[in-house]
Amino acid sequence: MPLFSSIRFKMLGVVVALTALLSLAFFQVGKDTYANYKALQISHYQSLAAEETARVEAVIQGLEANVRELALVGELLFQVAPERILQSARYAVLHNFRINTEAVGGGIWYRPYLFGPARELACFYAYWKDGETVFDESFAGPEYHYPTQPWYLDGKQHLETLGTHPGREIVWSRPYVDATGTRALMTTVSGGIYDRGGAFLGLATVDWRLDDIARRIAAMRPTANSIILFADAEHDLILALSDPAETRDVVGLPLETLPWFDKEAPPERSLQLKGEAYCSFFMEMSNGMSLTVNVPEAELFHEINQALGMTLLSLAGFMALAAGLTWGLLNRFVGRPVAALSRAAAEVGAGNLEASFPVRSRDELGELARSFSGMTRSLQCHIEHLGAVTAEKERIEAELHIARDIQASMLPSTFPPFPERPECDLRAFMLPAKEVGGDFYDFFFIDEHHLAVVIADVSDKGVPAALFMVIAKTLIRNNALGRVDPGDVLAATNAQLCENNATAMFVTACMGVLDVRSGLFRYANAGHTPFFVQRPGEAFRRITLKPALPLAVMEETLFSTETLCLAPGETVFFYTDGVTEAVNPEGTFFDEAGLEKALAGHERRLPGDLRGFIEGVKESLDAFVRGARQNDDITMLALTYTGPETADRGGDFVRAARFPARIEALPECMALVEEALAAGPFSERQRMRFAVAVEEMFVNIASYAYAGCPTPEPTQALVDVCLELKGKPALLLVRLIDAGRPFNPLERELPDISLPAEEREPGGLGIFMAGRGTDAVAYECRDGKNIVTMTLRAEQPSDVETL
Amino acid sequence: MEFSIERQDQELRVTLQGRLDTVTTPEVNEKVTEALGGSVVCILEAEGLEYISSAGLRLLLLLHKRMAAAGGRLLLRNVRPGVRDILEMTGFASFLAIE
Repeated sequence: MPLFSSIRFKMLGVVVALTALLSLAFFQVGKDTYANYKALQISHYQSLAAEETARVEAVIQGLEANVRELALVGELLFQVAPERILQSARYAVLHNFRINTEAVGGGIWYRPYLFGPARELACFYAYWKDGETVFDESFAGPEYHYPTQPWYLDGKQHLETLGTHPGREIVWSRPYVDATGTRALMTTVSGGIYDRGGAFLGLATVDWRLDDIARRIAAMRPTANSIILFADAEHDLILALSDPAETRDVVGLPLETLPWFDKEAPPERSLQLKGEAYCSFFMEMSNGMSLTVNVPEAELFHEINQALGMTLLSLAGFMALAAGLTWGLLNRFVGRPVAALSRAAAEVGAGNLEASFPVRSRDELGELARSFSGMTRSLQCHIEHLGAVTAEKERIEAELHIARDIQASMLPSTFPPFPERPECDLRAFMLPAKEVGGDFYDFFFIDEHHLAVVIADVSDKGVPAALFMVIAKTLIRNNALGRVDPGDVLAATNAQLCENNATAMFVTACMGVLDVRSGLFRYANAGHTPFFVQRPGEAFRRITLKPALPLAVMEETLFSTETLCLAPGETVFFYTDGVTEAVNPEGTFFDEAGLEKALAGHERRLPGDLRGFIEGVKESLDAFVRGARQNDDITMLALTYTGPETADRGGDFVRAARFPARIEALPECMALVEEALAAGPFSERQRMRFAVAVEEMFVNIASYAYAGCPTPEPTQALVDVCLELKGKPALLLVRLIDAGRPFNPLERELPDISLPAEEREPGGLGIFMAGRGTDAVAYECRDGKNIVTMTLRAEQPSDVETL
Repeated sequence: MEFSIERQDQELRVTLQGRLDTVTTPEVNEKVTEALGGSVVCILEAEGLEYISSAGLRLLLLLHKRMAAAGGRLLLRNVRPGVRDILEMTGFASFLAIE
């Protein structure tokens, strides 16, 4: 079994899917938190930057206020006591810088010649040095000549351009490097000194070390790789933090050349630099200075990303753990027990019912294992029981087999059956549908001259039918002793069978008795199928039997005997309905049509090869059935009358003549008959009687056969007379054949010969006499011809005359 | 078939010679019936009668009935064994007078 189709794998899939769903839910919830956290982080840095900006702004405001204050001091000093300016100004400046600790220096610079033409320069400057304010007079000398210094000129010019609110305006200088020796980066805040009339008196300045702000901002330093830029009012970059090397490179560059500068940008935005995303904050101060703080997003969101990574990692870990646990547990509680059950079941399947199901758990699998165990126990019991039953069945079958042998031995099975009797040949077989059958056939000589054949079918199959068959067969054989009339035999058998027939079984039977001397065949029917007769060179014809009840149905049933005259070479074929009701795999019956076809297909073997004939018919049946199940016993019997035994066949008297069917032809016909009678060893009485019989039949034909026909031509209304006198004991056979309307003279009612003359009618006597004058008279209608056959055999001294 | 009819008073004597069968009987029947007249006794001399079939038997029955109706009788004489056998077989021997 492939791994992915196992239950464990499917369950694992379910667990993984559930975990994934859970993670998705976590993610949905965490997404907002993540965004909130980000916003919070941004605002935190924004406020940090704003706070710093505010602090710088405060310094800037302080410096500007200081400048204004100094300018005011300068104006006051000039207004109040210009003559004492040297002392008072010096003092004021020093005092000022003692108070204002933000500035590193500053002073008052009066315009040239304000104090008279004699005094061109008047400035008062003090600065911080080692925690003390020092008054510096070096700037007041002509060597420096401050009015020509760029910062002075720039400041003055700026103030003039701003001139709308004279006296209070402030100018920030561009940063510069201190020339006094500290080499620090400085900026100077200048404020104009004006008199009451608004006339320009000079400048008040305060120096500010940008190093301070740099240090302060550097202290702010939000993350390790943050880039902080500080620009002056002209947007010349003066300070870049976070990367000292880069700082040197960018210092002094116009801010516009840097990627993160955008005056139009919102105070907070995100931008890309060298493949890295930055969160950028931009703040401008009141004096035009600006501060840009760029925090790499990687660092800004480092914590949250780390937390997120941890979360994802733990989720993955949880998923792996859950999957592993599921796999392990399923293995332990499902996989292994199922495998064990499977192995045990395979063992049971291989035949070992002792196999145990080693699952002891209390869950469904344990239940299944217990069920399996129960099942194998039941199977064991069942098989033991089955063994016993089979043994019993085998015993019964063995007995049935023996029964079949007994039954088979009861049916005569030696063929040819009467090798010492050349008059006839006989073949038969019975094929039972079950082990023992209900069909049977029998044949035996009743006496020296009479051969009896019986074919019968008991109404059921199997053992009961076989038992009933034995009874019926035995009774028929017993009753046939001393009886040559099959109707009598059947009647006697019927009476005996009816006596004790609690099971209401019955037998259909057909019995025939052949007089091997004459070919006279008497037969009687008890509800059996018809039989067939074939004359050499002709086709089989069906002999329809008079309908009669089967044996063992009703007491007092009469079975009429009919007769048929078999010529030498003629064959009689009997069968049971197992033949016509045989079915092929498609469910089609063999039927009488199939049988007739089979008979026609093999009739050329007759006479002579009787065995080949009956086997051929059987093969035709087999070919039709094609191995389909046999539902009924199949029985066939064929009898060929080869003719009477004669020592000298050379002396036979055979005549045939054709006469017009008219009374006038009678003498001629009778002359022929008399001749035949004279040729045989017949007594006068026999000759007389037989002649009368032939005349009566001839007259009958002449009177009635063509009556009603529209005056037939003499050539058409004919009677064929065939005479045959054969061997020892002598037998005379006379056949009258006409083509008139079908008419059986034997069916005429016979007169009561015991009546007195007064009550006698003249009719019917002829037929009566015809019957009495012969040993046998038979009628048949064949191929549109009426055939009457009369037989006479010579009286033997041993014969018991029963007529 | 040859036959002769002699008449003496009320006695009719018919001598039969040969076969009394379907072919011959009608002629005999016609002649005898004609000659019967008011005879009281009819004697059939059957010594020469070789053969008799149902047609002949019918003639015998007819003659017997007519004689009986006229208060007379039919008598058969010198019947051969073969013919007698036929008469016995058919039951005619029981009512015919045979000498």
